[in-house]
Amino acid sequence: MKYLRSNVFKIAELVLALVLTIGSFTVFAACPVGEEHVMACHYAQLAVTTLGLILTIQALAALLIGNKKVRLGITISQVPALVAVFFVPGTIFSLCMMSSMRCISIFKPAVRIVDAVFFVAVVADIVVNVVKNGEVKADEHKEAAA
Amino acid sequence: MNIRKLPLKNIILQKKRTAGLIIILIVLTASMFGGSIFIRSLNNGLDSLNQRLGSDIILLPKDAESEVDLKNLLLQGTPGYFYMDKSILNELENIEGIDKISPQYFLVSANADCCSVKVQIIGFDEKTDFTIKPWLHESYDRELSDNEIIVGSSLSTRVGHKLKLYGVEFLVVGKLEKTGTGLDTAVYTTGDTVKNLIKAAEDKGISILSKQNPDDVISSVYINVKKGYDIDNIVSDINLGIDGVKAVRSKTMMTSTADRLKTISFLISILIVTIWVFAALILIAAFYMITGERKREFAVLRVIGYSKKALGRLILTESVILGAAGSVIGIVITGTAMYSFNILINSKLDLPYLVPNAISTAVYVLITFISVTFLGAVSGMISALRAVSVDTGKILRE
Repeated sequence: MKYLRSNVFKIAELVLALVLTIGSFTVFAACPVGEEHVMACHYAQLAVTTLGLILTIQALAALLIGNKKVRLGITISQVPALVAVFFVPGTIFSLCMMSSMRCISIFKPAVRIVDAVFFVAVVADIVVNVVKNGEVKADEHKEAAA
Repeated sequence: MNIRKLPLKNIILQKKRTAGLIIILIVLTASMFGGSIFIRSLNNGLDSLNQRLGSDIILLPKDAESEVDLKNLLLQGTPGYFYMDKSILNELENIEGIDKISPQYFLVSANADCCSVKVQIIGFDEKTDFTIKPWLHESYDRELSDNEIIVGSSLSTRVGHKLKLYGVEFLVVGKLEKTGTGLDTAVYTTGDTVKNLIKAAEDKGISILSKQNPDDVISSVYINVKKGYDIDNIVSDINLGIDGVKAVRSKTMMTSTADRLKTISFLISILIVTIWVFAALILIAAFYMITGERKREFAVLRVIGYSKKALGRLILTESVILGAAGSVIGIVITGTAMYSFNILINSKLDLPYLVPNAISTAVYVLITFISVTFLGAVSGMISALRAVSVDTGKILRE
């Protein structure tokens, strides 16, 4: 229970990374690939899955590694990847032309919502860690001064 | 400890209690905000469709399927095509009371380069048009040249960009305003460009779902009636006087949709009221029970010098904070889901669906926030009355 409580953000990040990775080619996948035609959105889906996989490995590493500074470093390094994921569907990679198609109506909003929640969790994790580290350092200074 | 921070500390430290109450408040908010936005979107969609049709009468081929096809196109965005002889236009000119006539030609593209689905292409006569160009997002003064097109708002291309259909590039010169109907996914162009499209498809060996020449046939005619003339009489004159066509009043065609929409709106309203009544009762009961469990805490506060008024204020402040937090979280979750997935909702509904603009949304946000926070405050007030009526001495002796 204590492990869960102290790693609540890391566990949430891992779950969200898995949702992003697996969801990007299952529940909220982009348009299906036709026999003759590969739609532009297919490459956006591949990019999201790849970035999701990287985020999953990062989240897993942050959960397993014991060193607090390394954990914080890994969490901070997730921020650029999360920003990139947000802009992959529709900005970095173009999607299909018609908004009623799956890539615009399901893939794009789902990826952006999961990514936004993930981003909030990561930022909260960083803030909490920085505040805690600051408190620990202040206590150490007080002890040293005493 | 600063006594003013006590309500907030109570909320933060009693995590399970706070989470339970917040979940009830989120359900309340989601039902009210989500339901209101949904009903408003349906009404917006129908209003927009009625305006977008833009004519008093629509003339279609007489077969039963054409009206169904047109409704499917309008409501579901399912591309369709049907034809009648173009000479009908000459016959229409002989009918008294008709002010404006504008024909359209429907074409359905097979899988185009842009999309893995069929695209509805509507050829229109620019000289007589009064139903398409008034809906242009930005005004476009000159006439469409060859291979220039206007697109519906749901096609994610911009003015000045090119859209490739059957290997031929078409310049987008205008984009129509959003209507929340199937017309948003259509491509609009002149008869000459339609002919170019058919030729391009044939050159590429792609099957196109019509090979009838736009010079010979038309799909529908939009008619406006002169002032002072009865629209129903004109409809009868057309139906009796011209063979092979069926004239329908635009409003009549959408009557069944409006009826369906009324029923859905009514059912959702009942659902909202039911959820509200139950959730409000649960909320009041929850606050009341929690107050009962906190009797000793309140008695201790009274002993250390808390007046009855201060105790009541403490409970009220707690409930207002919880109400505000629950409504904000509920609005954010519901709003994100409804606005992000509005295209999906639209496509699953088979009804015109147009989400409210920013100002209307802000009004709904404000009303929901005030209502839910007020309900939280009322629940807190009832509990506060119970708390202040407690005999401190008796509680501490128990």
